Amino acid sequence: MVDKNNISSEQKKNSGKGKTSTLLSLLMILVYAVIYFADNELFVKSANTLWKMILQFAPYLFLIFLLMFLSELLITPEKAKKIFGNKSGIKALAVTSVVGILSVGPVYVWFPLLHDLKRHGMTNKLITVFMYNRAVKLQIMPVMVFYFGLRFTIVFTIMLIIFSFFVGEIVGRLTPEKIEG
Amino acid sequence: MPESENKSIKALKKTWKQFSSALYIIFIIFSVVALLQNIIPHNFYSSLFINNPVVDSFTGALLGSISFGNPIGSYLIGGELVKEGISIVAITAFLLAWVTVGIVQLPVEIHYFGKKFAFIRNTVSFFASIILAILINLIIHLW
Repeated sequence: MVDKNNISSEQKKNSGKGKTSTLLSLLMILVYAVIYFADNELFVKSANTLWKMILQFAPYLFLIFLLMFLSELLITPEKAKKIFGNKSGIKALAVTSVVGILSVGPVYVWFPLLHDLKRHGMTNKLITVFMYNRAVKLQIMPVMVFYFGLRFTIVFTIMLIIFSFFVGEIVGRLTPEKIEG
Repeated sequence: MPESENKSIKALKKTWKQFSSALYIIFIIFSVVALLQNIIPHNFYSSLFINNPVVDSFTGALLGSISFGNPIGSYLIGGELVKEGISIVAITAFLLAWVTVGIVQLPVEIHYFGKKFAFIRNTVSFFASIILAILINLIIHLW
């Protein structure tokens, strides 16, 4: 079960982040307002660039929302804990990779769960594999395709998953778990 | 209300919360990038990179390591940098280091997993992002 203190501290963090985002957005509007009066030509050029970027990006927003929703629905920290269980070897690597890929939100939200799983036998190798596979972002993959192309996205994703095993292996060997008893 | 329906609504609400927060981030990044594109001379970023795949991916990985936030930000910045003519190898290292290396979150990682693990994981991930960036682009060229 996820600790209630963790949930409330997570909510506090999220609300803090929300406030920061709102403040930064207002700050950007203020910056543009100042530029409007100080350098009108720069304002027009920047506003045009901004508008073009928004128009190009808009069609991808719906797809991103849909993928984020599916990830949220399919994978939760509680489910992840059940999935990891006592599995080991190739099966654990595969499960860890998939959960890492499907996990959403900032990585530090997952730290308490990973720490808990470590106490239940999850190795440093698996923790690394999980964290490395978080670089595969299915929810925002359309954005990567938009900017870098389908071929790049495919190679990037496959290579990243393969490399996560090597990185996990190296980190696992360099930070061996202490055997108790 | 059936439990599955309740669960879907909960997931929908949570997704909307995350999505709306992502919209703010997108707006902030777009605003900054649009402004910088018109302020910074076109040759500024190219001056940070020297057209050497190894050195440029090192620079890209360094920039990615000290950056933080939603990975969508790295795609937007990386995409715009590619348009500015920066090599895709450097941008790949930047994208990889953005997510796999976390200098900003290092104190939290140390708190949960200890100094040794946090430093080793971040160092290995940093160099892996450089090697992987070179490999990815090698494969793309051969494809």
